[in-house]
Amino acid sequence: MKKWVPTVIFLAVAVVLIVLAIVFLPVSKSVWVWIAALLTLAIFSILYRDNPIYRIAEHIFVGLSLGYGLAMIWHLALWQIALRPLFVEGRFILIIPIAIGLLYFTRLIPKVSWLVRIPISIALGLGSGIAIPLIFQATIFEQTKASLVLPEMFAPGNPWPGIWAIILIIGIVTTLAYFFFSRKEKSVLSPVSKVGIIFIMLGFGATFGLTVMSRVSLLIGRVQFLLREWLGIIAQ
Amino acid sequence: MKRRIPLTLTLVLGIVMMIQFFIPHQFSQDFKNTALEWLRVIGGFAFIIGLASFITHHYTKIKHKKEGWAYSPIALGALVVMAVVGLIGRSPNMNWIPVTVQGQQISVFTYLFSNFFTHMMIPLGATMFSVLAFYIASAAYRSFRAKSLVSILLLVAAFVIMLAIIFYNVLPLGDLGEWLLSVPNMAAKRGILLGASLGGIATSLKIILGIERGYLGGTK
Amino acid sequence: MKFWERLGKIDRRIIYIVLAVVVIIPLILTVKLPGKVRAMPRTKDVFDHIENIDPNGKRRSILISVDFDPQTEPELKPQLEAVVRHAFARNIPLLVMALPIQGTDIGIEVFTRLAEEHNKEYGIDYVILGWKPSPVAVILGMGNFIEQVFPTDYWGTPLSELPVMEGIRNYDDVGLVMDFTGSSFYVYWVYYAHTPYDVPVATGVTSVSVADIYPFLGSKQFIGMLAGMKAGAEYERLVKDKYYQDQDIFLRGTQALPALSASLLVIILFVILGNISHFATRRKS
Repeated sequence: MKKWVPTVIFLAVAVVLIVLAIVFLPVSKSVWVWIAALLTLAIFSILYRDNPIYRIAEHIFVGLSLGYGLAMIWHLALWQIALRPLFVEGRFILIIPIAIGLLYFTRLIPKVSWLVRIPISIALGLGSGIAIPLIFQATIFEQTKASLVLPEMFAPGNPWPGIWAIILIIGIVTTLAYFFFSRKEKSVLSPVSKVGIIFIMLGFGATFGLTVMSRVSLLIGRVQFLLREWLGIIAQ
Repeated sequence: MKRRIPLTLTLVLGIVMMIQFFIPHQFSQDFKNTALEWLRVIGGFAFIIGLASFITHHYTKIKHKKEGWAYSPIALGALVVMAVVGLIGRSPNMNWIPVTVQGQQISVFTYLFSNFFTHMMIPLGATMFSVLAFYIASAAYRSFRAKSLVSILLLVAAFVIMLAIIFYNVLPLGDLGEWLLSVPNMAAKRGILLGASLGGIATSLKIILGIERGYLGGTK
Repeated sequence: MKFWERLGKIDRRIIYIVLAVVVIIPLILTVKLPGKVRAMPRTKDVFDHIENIDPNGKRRSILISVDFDPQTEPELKPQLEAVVRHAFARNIPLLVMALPIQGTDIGIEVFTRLAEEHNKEYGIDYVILGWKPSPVAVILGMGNFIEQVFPTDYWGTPLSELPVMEGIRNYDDVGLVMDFTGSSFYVYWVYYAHTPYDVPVATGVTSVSVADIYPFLGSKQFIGMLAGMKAGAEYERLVKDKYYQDQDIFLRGTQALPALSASLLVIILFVILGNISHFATRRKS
């Protein structure tokens, strides 16, 4: 059998199915819905094997995303918060951050390309300085506070919240022990970090189950689009 | 100088912002708000780096006819079309070449821009990720084996969560799933969060103090 | 014994086809799950919080941040639509923004459609603030003055000219920050909005991040969470039962739920088959 035969059969079946769909189903009459549906099918074609149609769709997506970003950055960032305040409202102080931002362009000029480090270092300096106290407060402080075992958790009729709180503390400590001490083979703490691995595996297992659910949800969303908006098989 | 200026800037700004946090004075607040505004303005230009590397990547691919170069004009073409349509179509009060859509007059550029987004970018992006559903199903079938105590724990937790989602209405399994998430899972995730935050804070301090210099790139 | 071996080596394309079929069939047959969808406590927390926002009080508005891009749109759109319907039904003013750039137009698409459905007017009932660079500086800046971060709305109209913004200056006038995200933008809202400004924050996430959110739920840094498509269906049910009893609205998540359950069951089944084959062939050798 020639190499192109399966592809031709595949395409022929697809064309027949589409014609049947148009004749017998309340398919969408919107050109845009058709474009969306065909692009969806183009991406799904990767499941059969890597092929030019998939590659074209993929490259269209990458190009469109960047083009979208370019247009939006011009309107929403450069114009609305930099150039408009500068030229329309006359806030001349903004010349300084704009000039610093323009230094990103030096990346394209090899001789002075080191100047690109200036906007990066400013963003990093400001960003790190802002982040340190807030992250400390939001995680180290708040999370530790929330892990405390309090006497009121052991109510006479229902001691369970207290018991879970104790297990929680054990889990947190042993997890930390696993990450900080597991490298040294015969550390004193290695039995502790073995308890930690139980908690970590239960946590990762939960994440795995949820990840499966997440991916399947995305698939259902796309199939829903094909069946509902494009083919009109399921209720509007 | 090529290293000292950026390192000094990071050190000074980082320390000033940290001190600022502890001073509730109006001057300190005004300084913070100006710094944040400048940060947003500067951030608007950062896309140049990504855009430049995208264009050079595809340009060299076409120039040297590297494998798969034929797709590069498509990516570049899509970029140009979307950028032009967006730059014109989303300008305030744009009404060039009006078309009538659902009884409203809008510019053809605005019309194309929103449809390119809703009917091309969304289906393409969403479908790319939804393909992973097939891969994860097949990978789970082939490699998710209860070979050791560790993998049994992993498997049990994953099953409990999935079954809890399916049978949340009917069985007490829903409550078991909720317990698994809010006791053992929370313990592990909080431990990881605390560890990661300590690491993150340490890295930030290293950046401010100039110990971590990866962002300078190169050795010049 | 060859049977057991073959059980462990099912071709991946067969798995693909089976998965596709169990997704398509329940959707076409519009299968209904037995009983009503019961809302998980985390979902109910978000619903109750929005129920308690007074549309005429000080903290009367909801800030909705569409922090996802097309890649995770199918999973988060049901949640977003259900929350927007809830807020529209209660006449709560909505401010819509995005941290990743592509969230902007997803927000515009959803809001234009739902606003028309619910007879809501732009500028009076809701405003599209749009996107600005540097997420940390955006979130922190809004704690001081929203107009400093967003001098104009998405379309270039100054915020001071929009009636919806009247009396809304910063987080002190926001009853809830509702973030929808397919990545880790939710931590930004905890670190830079809740921690310094003490504004109530809730998050709607893809199921991938659900397990990672629990530490923040336990510490009450989030008032609630919507977990994946399932929570979308739960929220739709809560909103429909309370506000749209007699109206026919499209319940995107509810429609998807049977397919979700069926496909998860099938995946569990495949994993069990793989394990049976693994142990049967191992014992032999």
